[in-house]
Amino acid sequence: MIMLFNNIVRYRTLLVELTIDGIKARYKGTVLGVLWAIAQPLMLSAFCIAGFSRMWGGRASVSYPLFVYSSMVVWTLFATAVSNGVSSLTQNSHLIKKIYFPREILVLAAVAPPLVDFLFSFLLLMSVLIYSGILFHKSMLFLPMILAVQMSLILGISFAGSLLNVILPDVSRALPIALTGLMFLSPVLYSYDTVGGEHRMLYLLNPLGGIVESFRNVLLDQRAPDTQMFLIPLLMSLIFLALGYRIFKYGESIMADVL
Amino acid sequence: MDTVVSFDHVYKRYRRRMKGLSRICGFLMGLPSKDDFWAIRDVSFDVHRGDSFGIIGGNGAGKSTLLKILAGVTKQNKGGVRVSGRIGPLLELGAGLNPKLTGRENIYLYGAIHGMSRGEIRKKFQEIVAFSGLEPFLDTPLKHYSTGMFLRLGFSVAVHTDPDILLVDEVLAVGDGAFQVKCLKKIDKFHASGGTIILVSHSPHLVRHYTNRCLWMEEGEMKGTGPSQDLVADYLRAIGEHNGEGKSEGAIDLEEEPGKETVVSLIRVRCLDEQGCPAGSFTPRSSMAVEIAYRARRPQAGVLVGLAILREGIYVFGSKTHIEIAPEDIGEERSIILRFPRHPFLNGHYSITVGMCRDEKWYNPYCYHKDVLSFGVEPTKEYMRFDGWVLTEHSWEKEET
Repeated sequence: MIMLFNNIVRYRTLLVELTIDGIKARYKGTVLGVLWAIAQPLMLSAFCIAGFSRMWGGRASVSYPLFVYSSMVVWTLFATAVSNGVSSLTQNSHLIKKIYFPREILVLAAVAPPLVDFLFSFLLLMSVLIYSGILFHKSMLFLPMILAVQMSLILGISFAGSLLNVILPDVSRALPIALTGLMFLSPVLYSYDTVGGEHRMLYLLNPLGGIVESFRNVLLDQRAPDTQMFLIPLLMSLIFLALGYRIFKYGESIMADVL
Repeated sequence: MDTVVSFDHVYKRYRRRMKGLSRICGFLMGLPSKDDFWAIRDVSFDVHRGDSFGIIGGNGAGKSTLLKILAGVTKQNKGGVRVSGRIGPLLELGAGLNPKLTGRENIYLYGAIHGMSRGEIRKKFQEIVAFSGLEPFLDTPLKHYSTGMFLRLGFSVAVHTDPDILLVDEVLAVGDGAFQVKCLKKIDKFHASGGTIILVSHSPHLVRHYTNRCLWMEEGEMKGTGPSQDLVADYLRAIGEHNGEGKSEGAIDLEEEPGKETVVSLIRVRCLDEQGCPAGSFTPRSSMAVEIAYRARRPQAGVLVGLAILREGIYVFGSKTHIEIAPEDIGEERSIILRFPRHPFLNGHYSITVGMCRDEKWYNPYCYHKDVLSFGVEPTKEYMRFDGWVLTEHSWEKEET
């Protein structure tokens, strides 16, 4: 794990360069440019609101649009970062086969642009919240921690997933399907409160659920997140990260051979 | 004696079946199987600081695998590898360069890939640009660069990364003359100031001239290591015994690597004499043709076919032409012929390199086969009086005063 930090520091220039390239490549030549960064969560939310608001059974204190948008912002970060991360090695096979540098830099550089998009969307979200009268609250101090937990989860999955994808390219094909499923199975479009008793335990197994709920608790309900909603994902994400990175380094030496 | 590189009974294998579930099982369990291909078997050698160390051997000897292990791109399966110091690979120049970015941006990117920090790159920026001679093109995207410019950029950055050990591939012979000289001078300067060089080459003469110690590889096995003079002598002796076998017969069939299918691939290369028969040996100024047979998977316009004839690693003659792949060509064997009505090559041993790419984009070719076929030119009585490598129309005339 310390190796991860050392490598990041030593190759920080490369990481920055690749990230900037990644960001430029995403929006260069498009007319809307940076606006695309916020497009996905925004439009997805709009569609969900149009389609699902009749089914809204959750908290009365918050309107459905606000609920959905804040969930979407978090979800989009997860989905795009993991998609990018998992295919980062196969996308850069030409580099891996020719030159040596710590391969995790590629995964990190793939995950960074979605993080930047998230920050833009978050700004928009905050503006909307302030406009609706929700002001800063000290529970918002939890936000960086929740983000850190989410990033650990994303990286853990990306490290293990990218390596798996090198051996079995099917992974990147199956991923969109899995993500769609996960989106519906997590309390993204609906609140955790609405989940029936017998399923509640299962929902706790999904770290993403806890992350999204905690995020909403802090921002919309203006309170600190539930202990189990926060601690379980925290633990799971750290385990994912440590394990994922271990697997990644174990397979690093054969990457060039298999690609 | 300071050892900077040490290989100790190193083995490297490649698994042939690398697809699907069998791949996962192989990966997890590491079991040997009959699909194993041992690229390197029991290789041990040492490189000392300040050495100019050569690695010679024919195709398939395992040289590129050794280089990959040295560069850190892959890892050996058995045996110990010790490298002390930073490796500067002067191979695969251009890998990692992004055609969409400008020259300036690529310098930073390429330097970063080689492990330089932003500060280091900024300090050396002027030097790199001056060396490459690409100052006026710094702000142009790389996709507008010619192949030569590409190589210049790659080389200029790679050579300024301040490495301890330089890995040099004789492919540096490709590129324009003046720059090539600059490259060689820079490499010499590096060596003179105590740097270590590892040079990989097919040409025994090059190795004997430029290195003090070397390693001779043949089909994955180590044939010997020691002072270059001795080893090259052994190598030449062994080659002499092999003349008239295999590649020198005038024809070679090529197999596609499984899992690496490209749009167009080479099937066969042949050297033909006046009668159109494959031959490994020609007399000077006779008729010679090189037939390149290929097979395509998709229609493609603007495919560039290039052929280079080298001798002792030096680029003697090369030519390129465009071909079109029409839908009726798919899956069929097609060929193109480079014909010399009276070839210019004199007595000696020559090697042919063939490649196909799209629109001069040699950094990402459809296929590239270095030294795929060789031929020799035998002297005849009437041509004995000429020295050198090439003969051209000429006449001596007395000036009338």
